[in-house]
Amino acid sequence: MTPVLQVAAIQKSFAAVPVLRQIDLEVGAGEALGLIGPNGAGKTTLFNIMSGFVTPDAGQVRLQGRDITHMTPECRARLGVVRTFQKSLVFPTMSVRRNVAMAVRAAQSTGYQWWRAAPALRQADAQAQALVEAGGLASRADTLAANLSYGEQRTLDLLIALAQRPRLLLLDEPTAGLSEAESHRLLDLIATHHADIALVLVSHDIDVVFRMCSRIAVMDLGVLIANDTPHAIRADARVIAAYLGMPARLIEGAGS
Amino acid sequence: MTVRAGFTGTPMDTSSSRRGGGWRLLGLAALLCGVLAVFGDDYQLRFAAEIFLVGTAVMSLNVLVGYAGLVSLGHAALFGAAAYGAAVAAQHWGSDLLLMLPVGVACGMALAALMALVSYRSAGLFFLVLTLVVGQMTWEVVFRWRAVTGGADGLRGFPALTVAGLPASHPLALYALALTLALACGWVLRAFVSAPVGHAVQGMRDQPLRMRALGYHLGRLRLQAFLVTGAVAGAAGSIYPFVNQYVGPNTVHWSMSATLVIMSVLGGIATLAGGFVGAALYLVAQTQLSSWTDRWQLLIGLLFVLTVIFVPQGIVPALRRRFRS
Repeated sequence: MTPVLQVAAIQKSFAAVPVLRQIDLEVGAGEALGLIGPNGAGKTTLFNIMSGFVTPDAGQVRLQGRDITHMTPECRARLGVVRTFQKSLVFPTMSVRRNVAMAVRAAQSTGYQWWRAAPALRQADAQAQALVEAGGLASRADTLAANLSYGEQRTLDLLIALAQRPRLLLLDEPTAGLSEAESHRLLDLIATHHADIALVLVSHDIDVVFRMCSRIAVMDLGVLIANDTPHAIRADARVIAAYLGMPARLIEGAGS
Repeated sequence: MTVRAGFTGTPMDTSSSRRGGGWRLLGLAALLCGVLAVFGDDYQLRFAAEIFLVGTAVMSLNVLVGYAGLVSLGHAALFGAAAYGAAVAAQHWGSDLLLMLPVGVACGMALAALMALVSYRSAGLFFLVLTLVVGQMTWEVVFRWRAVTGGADGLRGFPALTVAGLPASHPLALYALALTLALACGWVLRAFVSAPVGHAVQGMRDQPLRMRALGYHLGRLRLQAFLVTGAVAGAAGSIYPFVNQYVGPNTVHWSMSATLVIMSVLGGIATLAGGFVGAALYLVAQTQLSSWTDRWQLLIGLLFVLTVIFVPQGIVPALRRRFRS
């Protein structure tokens, strides 16, 4: 079966400084790939290339076999390439329900409608409400997003992404700044929805990556230094070397 | 009158308490309009009609600035081009409203489309300057093309307004027409901002990056915001020449665009009703103060500064809070 996402021989430099060299990755449906590495390893650039916000200098990005390397982020989104950002990007002056409805409408292409009473929109609102309830924000459905707590905004941010009906879901630090309980709730939410979605997860929280991912890719200075099962990664000498200064944390995290 | 209730909406979700305050304000506005219609003299009625028309243009600017986050310094060009378009068309084909409105709307939309095209990928200051440039190009055309536009003298002597053949040049008729147009345009803009496309436009203002990640095309949203506000400004502009049977190049000058922005801020940029409050306040202050002192602009500047300091969101949101509590 063709993998959902294929990244082949990707290269990218910013002002003659190479940021990514020869990156090859694959993620299949139902699979979760963790992307880890120290700051400046090139994770975010790779994310931007996958989602179309940055064009690579060389190499290919394929979605279910189709070359999407030069496709705009908007077009990719309509094909089911969905991403979040390091910061929560929610719509502050809209209610929680409308935040999610914005994404549902985009997915069903009713986002530009001039007529608010169309049946498709009632359906979109119902879908949004269902997702808000699934995310545990039912009591906050009519609250303006600006008035949510940090953790609730993080959840809403994820709900917006899920409402886009992703085929490929790219999550950038989804649990950053969350308490352990909050982060577990968020990961459960992801787990219940990603059965047939290909998931790529960037996180500094090694714990989260080892818990969620079936495969882990480790990057350092723009090079992919390992791409294997969590078990193998834990024992990889190069990985431990790249994380020099925090091997204890890596191993500790991996063990729990 | 449900139409007017919409005027008090904000880009946020409306709550019932907010509507409560809005209804009382609405009653007050309706009372004022009624009193003016019954007791106003010819001059006052014409002046009120002017306020409704300019206010409609400001209301459309509010949608562009307050809802779409696009601060334009060329909005008067949309209004003024429609005014000239209507006045020139009136000289050739007669001045029936049924012709003037489509001509004005078409002029406003065409120029708005040009502005959207020119400013396609720009934001912030660059957007401001590009809209200013398109506006000044329009002024340049109006000012230089004497044969058609009358140049610096402006246009006079075109026939008075009729509606389906019936004369409509009486001040009361103009007043009623301008009020009806203002309400209709308010309804159109209200429908726009509360429809999915309007929500998307507000999303573009607040989170452009997220909107792209959701698959919304920002250029397309921007064009739609420009077209609807251009249509409304154009509709208002098409009747404007008939209030005083005159249209001059100042109508399309950039300083008029700046005046519209000041009116917008006075009334409240993210409200629809604010357009009328801002226009009324500015125009009343202008006519009253200028008969009393040459330095009326200084006083309007002071009014502007006081507004920004004490009610930064504008007068209408402040009034609404007041009426609610």
